[in-house]
Amino acid sequence: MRAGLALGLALVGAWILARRHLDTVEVRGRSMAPALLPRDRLLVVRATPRLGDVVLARDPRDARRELIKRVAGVGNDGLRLLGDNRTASTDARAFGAVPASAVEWRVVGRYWPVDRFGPIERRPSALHPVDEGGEAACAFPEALIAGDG
Amino acid sequence: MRSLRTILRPTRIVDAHCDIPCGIYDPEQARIEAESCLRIIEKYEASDDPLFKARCIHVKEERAELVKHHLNVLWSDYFKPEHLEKHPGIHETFWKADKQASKVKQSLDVGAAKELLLMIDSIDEVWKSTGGPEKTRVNGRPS
Repeated sequence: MRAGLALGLALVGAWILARRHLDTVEVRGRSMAPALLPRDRLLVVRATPRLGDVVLARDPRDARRELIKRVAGVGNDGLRLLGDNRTASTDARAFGAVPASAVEWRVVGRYWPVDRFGPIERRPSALHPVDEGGEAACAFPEALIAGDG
Repeated sequence: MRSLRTILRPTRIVDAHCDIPCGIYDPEQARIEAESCLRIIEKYEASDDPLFKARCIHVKEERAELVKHHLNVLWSDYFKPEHLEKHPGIHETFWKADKQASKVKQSLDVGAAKELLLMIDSIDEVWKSTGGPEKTRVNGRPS
């Protein structure tokens, strides 16, 4: 009887502890496509953000909204968050860097829909070099590779 | 016992968000529609054709509605809190201009339409003083 009570309390304690560090969220919008699609359900953990992680952050322009974006840059002024789907994303290009303290949750995996169950990989934000303003950093990579230097 | 459904239900929604802000704002858009209203009222008065007059009323109401639409977009999307600090009268100005556009929609009063143009011009001045032409128009505003 006593052991049962202790086990029960331990389970409740573990649940409360887990809830502080684990959570589930649903995606709305397409700015993280194709990695994440609307209605995807994700498991998130409370963790320090790293470059390339998909993270949750309070929208600096509207604290009621929580954004999901990828960490594309880490600088002195904070984290630069960008959507993978650049042409349909409102992100650091619109609101600048966010303080690292504003990013508390990291996405670890998708549990729904079941056919796309699996981890969400940490990877560079852009498949192609993105350089806003000034000369393109790497406009013709093949020319550099084929160059006579 | 919690059902599997409850356990799988996410606790909150997160936004993979996109405003698609085109960033182009100009009071000229509202002014052109307001000018249409003025001309249509003048044409209405000059005509004896009841069908043409009916069309005038119909089109003028549409245009007046567009004035309100363009004013509201400018008000809510272009103007920011820092603009309000420098121009504390912005809200009042837009509110009155919106009301004036309603008046133009409802009446056939040339004076009301002219007054609306003046109000849009005062909004235009504020827009210009906040750097609107350089910030929001492609290559600045064509003159």
